[in-house]
Amino acid sequence: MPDDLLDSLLAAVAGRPTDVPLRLHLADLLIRHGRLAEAVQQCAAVLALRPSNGRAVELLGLASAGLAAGEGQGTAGAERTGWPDGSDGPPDFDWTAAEEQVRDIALPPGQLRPAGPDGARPATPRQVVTLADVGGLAQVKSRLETAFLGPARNPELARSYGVSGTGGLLLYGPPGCGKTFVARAVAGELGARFSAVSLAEVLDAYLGNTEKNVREMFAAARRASPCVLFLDEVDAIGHRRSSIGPGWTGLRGAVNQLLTEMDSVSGSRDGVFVLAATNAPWDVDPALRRPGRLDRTLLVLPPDRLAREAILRFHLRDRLVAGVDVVDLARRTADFSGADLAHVCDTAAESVLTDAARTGRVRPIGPADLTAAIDEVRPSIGPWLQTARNVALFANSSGEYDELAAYLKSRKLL
Amino acid sequence: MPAGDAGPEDPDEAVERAGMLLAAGRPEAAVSLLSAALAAHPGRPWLWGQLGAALLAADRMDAALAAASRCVRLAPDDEWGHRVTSAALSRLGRHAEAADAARTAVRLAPRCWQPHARLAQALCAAAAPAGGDLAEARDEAGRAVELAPEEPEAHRTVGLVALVRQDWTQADAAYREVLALRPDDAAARSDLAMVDLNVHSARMVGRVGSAATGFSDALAVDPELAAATEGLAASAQVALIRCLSWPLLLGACHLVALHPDVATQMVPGVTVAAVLVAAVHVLRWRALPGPVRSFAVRLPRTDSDVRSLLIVLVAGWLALGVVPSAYLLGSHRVAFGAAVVSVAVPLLMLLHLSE
Repeated sequence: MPDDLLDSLLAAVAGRPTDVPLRLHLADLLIRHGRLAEAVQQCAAVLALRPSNGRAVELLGLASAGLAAGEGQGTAGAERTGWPDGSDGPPDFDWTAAEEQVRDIALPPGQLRPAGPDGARPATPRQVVTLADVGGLAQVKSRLETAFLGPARNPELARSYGVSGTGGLLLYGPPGCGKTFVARAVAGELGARFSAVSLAEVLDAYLGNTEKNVREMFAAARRASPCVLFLDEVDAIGHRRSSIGPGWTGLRGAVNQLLTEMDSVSGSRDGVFVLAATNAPWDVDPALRRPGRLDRTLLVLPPDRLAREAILRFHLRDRLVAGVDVVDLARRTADFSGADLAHVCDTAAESVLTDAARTGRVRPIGPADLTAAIDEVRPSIGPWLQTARNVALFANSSGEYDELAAYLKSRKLL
Repeated sequence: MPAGDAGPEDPDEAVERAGMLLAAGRPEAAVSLLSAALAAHPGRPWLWGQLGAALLAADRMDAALAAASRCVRLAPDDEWGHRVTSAALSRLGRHAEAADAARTAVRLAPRCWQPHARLAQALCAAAAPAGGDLAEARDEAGRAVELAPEEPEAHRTVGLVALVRQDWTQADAAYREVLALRPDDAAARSDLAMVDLNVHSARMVGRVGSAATGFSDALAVDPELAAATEGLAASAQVALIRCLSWPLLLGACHLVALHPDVATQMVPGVTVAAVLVAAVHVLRWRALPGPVRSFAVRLPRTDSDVRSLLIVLVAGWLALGVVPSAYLLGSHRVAFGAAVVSVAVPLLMLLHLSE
C-alpha cells in the first residue's frame, strides 16, 4: 500500500478527530506497514475517547510489542507482508504474555485482578438493576423502601394505614450522584419497565404539540404497564411557572399537562409509577409537589465510603490495574460524586496510556496513577452545596428541606 | 421533531424550541439543538443569532461572539445579530466595541425597546469601573421604558443605570416597578437590597438590616442567585463589624485616659456611652432574621477576608481595651467594670455566633 494513502488517511483523521472506527482502521494499517509509533498514537487517541475500547487495547498491545522488539522505527518503512506473528490477520491479544509482563506486581487479596484459568475475565450476566446493585447508600435504600417501595408493592395495606401509595417520588441531590441509577433500581425492584423522558423530547414549537407530547408520554407508560416513568431533570419539564416569561406558552403548557397527567395517575391503579430527578428541586413548580403528585422526596447524597468502593470497582473493572487498594482510595475520596470518581479512573487511565505511548511499554494502572488523578480531580459538588446551604437557610420555612438541612448540619456547613 | 434528535429540522422551529430550552434554564441543550439545525441550514442568520444567545447563557463568550458575528455577516441589516454581538463584547470586557454594536442595533431598529436597553447596559458596563458620563445611558434606558412600559427588563435597565449613577431614589423606584410587573423576580429583590446597601455606604445610615433581609428574600426565591449571595455576605459583614468593633472604641478611650493630662473622671462617661452604643448594635443584630444571623456567623469560616478582619478586631480589642483597663484597675473601679464588660460582652457574642 502506498504511503501517500496512509498519509491521506492521517489527514482524514485530523479532520475527524473523534471518528473512532477510522482511527482504529488507520492504526491497523499503520501496524501492517511498520509505522508502529504512529499506530500507538492513534490507539492512544482512541483510548482517550473510549477508555474501554477493546480493539484499541489490542492494537496498542501489538504496536507496543513491535516497538519493544525494535520492529518498527516509527516512520514510514517498507510495507510488511503480514502481522508481527507472520499471520495474515490481526491475532488475538496475548493476555498470557501481558500477564507474564506484570506477574511480579503483587495484588492484595480481593483486589481487581481479572480471574479465570485462561486469563479471560469472568463473564457478567446481563441482569435487571435492583437496589442490591447499588453499592452503599443504606440510608437511601431504607428511605426508598419505607416511603415508596413498600406502599407501591402493598397499596391496599398502605391505604389501611392511611399511607398514600399513589403519588410520585422526587429524587434530588448533587449532580453525578446516581439519581438515575437509583430510579432504574426502583424499576427493577418493582419488576417494571423503565421509561426516561426529558424536556428536549417533549418540546415542540407548534402550539399545543408540547402538551400533546406529554399526554402521549403518559399514555405510552400506561400501555407498557407496569412502568416507571422517569422525568429526568424535572426542573426543566416542570419549571416553576412564575419564572417562565409570558412568551413561552409551550413551557407553561408542559407543566399544566404534567399536573393533569399526574393527577390521573394518582387517581388510578394502572401500574404507572412516576419518579423524577433533579439537582434543583427549588426550581420545580410548587404545584408538582403537592399531595398525590411528587409528594415524596428523597435526598440522594454523594456516595458514602461503601458506595465509593463499589463505584471505583465498577470503573476499574475492565482496565488493567495492579496493586490498587480500592478501600484506601474510597477513604481518600470523601465528597467525590460518582461522576468525579469515574473521572478519576479515566484520568489515571489516560495518564498511563500517555506513558505507554511515550515509552512503548504497556503497564497497568497503579496506586500512584490513581493518587495523582485524585490530586488532579477536585470534587464537583461544592457549588451545589453552596446553593443547598442557601436553600436550607432561606427557603425551608415549610420544612420541606429538613433532610437537606440535617445533612448540612452534620457536615458543619450550616 | 423532538429536540433530542440531531437531524435537520425547520430552522424557525429550532429557534423557537431553543428559546424554550433557554427559558427553562437549559442553555447547553439549546446549543446542541441549534448546532444540529445549523449543520443542515448554515445560511440562516437567526439560527446563528440564537446560538450566540444560547452560548452567552452557557457562559461561552468567545464562541457566542463568533456565532453572533456570523449572524451579522449573514444579515447585516438585522438588529438582533448586532445586539447579541454587543452583549458578548460587554461580557468580554470590550466595552467600547459593545457600545458601538449596540448603537448600530439602535440605528437599525429605533422603535424596538431591546436595542435601547442593550445600549444603556453597554454604556453602564463601560462607565462602571471608572465612572463616566451616563447621560446617554439614562436617555436610552428611558427610551426603552417609553417603548415598552409593560416590559420588566426595560425597567430593570433604568434601575441599573440609576444604580451606577448612584441615584438611589430612581433605582429604588425602577426595581419596585419590576417587582410590580413580576412579583417573583428574585433579581429585582436582590437589586433593591443592593440599593439599601449602597444607601448605607453613601450615608452611613442603618439600612443594612433591610438590605440583608432583601437579599435573603431573593435567595428564598432563587438560591442560586450569585449577586444575592454576595450582597448578603457584604451586608452580614457590615453587621458583624458593627457589633464587634465597639470595644475598640472603648479601649481607645481608656488608652487616652491613661495620659496624665486627661482626667480619669472621663472614663465612666465614656464607658457608659460605649456600652449604650454597643447595646444599640446588639439590638440591631438581634433584629436581623435568624437565617441571616446564621449566615453571618458562618462568614468567618467561609470567607477569609472576614476571618482576617475578625482577628484584627480581636487583637485590637485586646490591645486597646483590656490592657489599659487592667492598668487602670487599681485607680478606678468603673474602669475595671468596663474592662469586664469589654471582655465579657464580645466573648459572649462570639460564643453566640459560634452556636
